[in-house]
Amino acid sequence: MINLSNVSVVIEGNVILDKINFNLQPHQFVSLVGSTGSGKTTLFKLLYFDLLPTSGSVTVINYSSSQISQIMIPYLRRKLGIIFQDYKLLEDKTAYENVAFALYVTNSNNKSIQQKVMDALTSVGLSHKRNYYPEQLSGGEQQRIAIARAIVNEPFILLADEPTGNLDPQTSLDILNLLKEINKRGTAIFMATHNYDLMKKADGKIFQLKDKKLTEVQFKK
Amino acid sequence: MNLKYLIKEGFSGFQKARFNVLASIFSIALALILIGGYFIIQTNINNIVTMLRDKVELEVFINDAETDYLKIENLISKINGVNKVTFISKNEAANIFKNEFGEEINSVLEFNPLPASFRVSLKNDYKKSKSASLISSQIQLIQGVEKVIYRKKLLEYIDSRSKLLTTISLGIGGILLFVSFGFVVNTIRLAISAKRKTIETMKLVGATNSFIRLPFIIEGIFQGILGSTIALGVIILGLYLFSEFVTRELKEIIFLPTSFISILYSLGIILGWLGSFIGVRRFLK
Repeated sequence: MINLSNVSVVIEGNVILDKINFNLQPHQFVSLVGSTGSGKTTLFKLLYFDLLPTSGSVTVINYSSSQISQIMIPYLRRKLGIIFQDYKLLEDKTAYENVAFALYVTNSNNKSIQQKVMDALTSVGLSHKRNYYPEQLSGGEQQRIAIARAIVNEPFILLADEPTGNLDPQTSLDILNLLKEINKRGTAIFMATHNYDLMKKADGKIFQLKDKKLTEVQFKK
Repeated sequence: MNLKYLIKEGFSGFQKARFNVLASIFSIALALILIGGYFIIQTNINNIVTMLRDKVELEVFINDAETDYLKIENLISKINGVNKVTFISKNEAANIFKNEFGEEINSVLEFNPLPASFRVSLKNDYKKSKSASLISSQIQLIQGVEKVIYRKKLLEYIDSRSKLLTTISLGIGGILLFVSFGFVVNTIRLAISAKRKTIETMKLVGATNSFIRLPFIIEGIFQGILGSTIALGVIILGLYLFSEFVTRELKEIIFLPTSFISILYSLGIILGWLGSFIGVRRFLK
């Protein structure tokens, strides 16, 4: 589903990633650890083609960095769910509207939108707060809405860039458990975090970004 | 594309970002008031110039010894650029004198010294000093013609000033159009900058560029229509107030050209569209 082959990224003369290789298979839950500034966000940007590699190739589902055109990028992103540390919710839209937004944007059928949005909100446990605006929700709840928005299109892969970066330990654990549930339903998950405790509780393989290189690591659980 | 959603999104700014929307509308209105005001002044200056040119007629005085007026009239009519020839007999000239000065010419001089004459009006394209001078000299050659007079100085003055006026006016118009467009585009661009988070999120969830662009274009066009309406209201009010202070003669020629409203609305829509298009383009690269 995701394949990085000898990928290097150089920005303004600085090497950010150096010949990294990586593979993500369907249904996998893979964690990525690395200190702040290690290049985790750069790696994520490569996966949703916000950034193209300086050398090497990135393949996500059937889209390859060597062949993809600007016009095709939105269609790839519709097959991905992406969540961020800062949630990126639209402040002027309710929880419901934020989730529905992802469906309208991708030209979903009007009739199915309501059902899909309610299903997604239910799966993150926030259907009762569908009419709340982001500022009326806690950090954890906002991240759940962001997750609902990311999964409402039933993506093949969920990319989570520091999803618990702004949350307390208990809420972080709740979010992790929610991601695990989503993974069990068949969505592959790639999660970046600098929270080692949380990562140890996650399932699956763990990769570490250090000194511009990506390596698989084992941690004692 | 979900058109209903796009239109709804296009209008959502009117509820959610009122200040930005109002700033854009008023910038369009202000630009159109400036451009529209300029357009009206320009049109009316042209009208005044045309009115002055219309007043210029050639007066052709006939020698008293000449009696074949019809022949002279035919010869004048055939000259290129002549629009209408009106004969004024000696008696009619005396009546005109009486109307203008209140006295019978015969009672002053005991005879009528006023010659018979022709009033010659020119076709629109010939109401210029060069053409009038040429026609005048051609008439002068006709046998029986004593003298040709017309307001030569006035025509020369209008010709020289209208050229200068047109050049200055085109310069001002060009600068005004450029500055207004820049001002509006920049205001809308700033308003759209406030929505960059929305645009970023739309891109992340897989919206195509045209989908992202369309609500902003719809909003921009609607702002253009509202801005045009405000500008039209202000211009009509301004013209009404202005007409209160000018002479009756001037009042009659000051008017709003019929094409003005459609030009104003077209410009408003173009301004709104262009502002949104340029504003959102920055975030779609």
